[in-house]
Amino acid sequence: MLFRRILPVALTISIGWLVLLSFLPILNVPLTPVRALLVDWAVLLAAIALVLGFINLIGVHFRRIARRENVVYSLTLIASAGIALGYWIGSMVIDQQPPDAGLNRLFTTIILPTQSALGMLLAILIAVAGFRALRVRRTVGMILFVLSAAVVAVTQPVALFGNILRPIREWLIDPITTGSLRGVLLGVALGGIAVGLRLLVGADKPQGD
Amino acid sequence: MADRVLQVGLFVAVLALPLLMLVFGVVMRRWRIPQLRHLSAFDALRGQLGRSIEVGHPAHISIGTGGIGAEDTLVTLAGASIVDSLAQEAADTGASPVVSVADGTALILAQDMLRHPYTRRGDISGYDPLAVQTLGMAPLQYAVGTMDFLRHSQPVSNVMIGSFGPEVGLIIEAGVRQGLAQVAGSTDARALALLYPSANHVLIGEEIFAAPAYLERRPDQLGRLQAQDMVRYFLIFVIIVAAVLRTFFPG
Repeated sequence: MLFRRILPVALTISIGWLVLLSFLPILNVPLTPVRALLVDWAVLLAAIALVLGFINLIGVHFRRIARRENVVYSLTLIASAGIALGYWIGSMVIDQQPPDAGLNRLFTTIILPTQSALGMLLAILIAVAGFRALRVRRTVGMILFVLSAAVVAVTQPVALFGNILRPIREWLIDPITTGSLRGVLLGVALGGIAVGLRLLVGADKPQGD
Repeated sequence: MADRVLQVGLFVAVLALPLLMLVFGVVMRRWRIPQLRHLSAFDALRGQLGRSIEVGHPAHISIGTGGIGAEDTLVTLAGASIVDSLAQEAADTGASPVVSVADGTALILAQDMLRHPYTRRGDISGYDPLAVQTLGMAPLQYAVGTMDFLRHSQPVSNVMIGSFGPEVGLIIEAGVRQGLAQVAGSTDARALALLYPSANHVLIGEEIFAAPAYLERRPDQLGRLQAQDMVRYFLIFVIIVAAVLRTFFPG
């Protein structure tokens, strides 16, 4: 009971308040070194969690291979991870330093172009989703379509009719989107404060028992 | 003047929130349960595990690409609260969902939440540690891993609530192609723009923080939700007052 329920909650609440108070200069209590130490511990724990995440990723793909689900993809992933890890460990043992240049080359020649290509697909996906919205949610989809077309029409490089339509964007579309976005951001900030306070007073307990 | 009003208003709101949560929690326990604003996403979420049993395939829940300790901690916790709310039902029915993450800390959190009901009853033999899966360790890698998962594991539905960026467009499109019922929620405007036209039910912005209250409907949680709404109305009032002051008294 003590170690499973009370201690984790008590630790979370006390450390949370300690860190929060360290940000309040009006208290005039030198808590900044304590906060720095706690943050260092958190970074260490996050690094260990990263290793656990990697082990889980490999475990998931071993299970898929055992179940014969998309074996080629899982084998490729495990082999790539093994090669990258082996290269890193090998460099550490032989050169006594991490292989920054080699790993950077791996990143810039394989991962970066692949991610860029996927990123490019997103523009097409937005257009496809917009047309789908026209079919599924007719009214909202029509508003979405008309506003999107208007924005494209007044933005470079299309900029139909020169700058004649630019005021539409500046006076109509920009205030609507900016206002809506600020509304969402304010709501999220308030929700975030509420969730944080719930954790600090022990009303929410994400830690296990 | 306007800045002073905003600062004092925020300070009062932060101090009042815990007190209001406590008061409304007691009020809800003793008197009546309020009518909540209808959010179809939560109705859809409640039926996920039942459908999973009928069809014989698990539901997929993604809590996003964030983790604990970064700037998206609270959004990740909001996504994890969905797992927590469904965990008891999952343990009772044996229809455990597959939870996917992209961060080691989120992995530990989600595993812990799915394991709770089993540890409470003192028998964790039914708990599967690989029910929580790391499908990638960066946003785009995670998106590709999840697309592959949706295609090959054929889940009964796709729930994505948490910290997402534009990469969510790739996942939601894969879900549409599989004909999955999709419930999604995010606080990121770019992600919302991609989710809104494609997902069946969307939670916008702070709505994702209300998940425990809507799903579990415990009086204390409903009380907290009421308190949050009260503070929100107060802050809206403060913002309007500050805007009026700044407009008419710019000095």
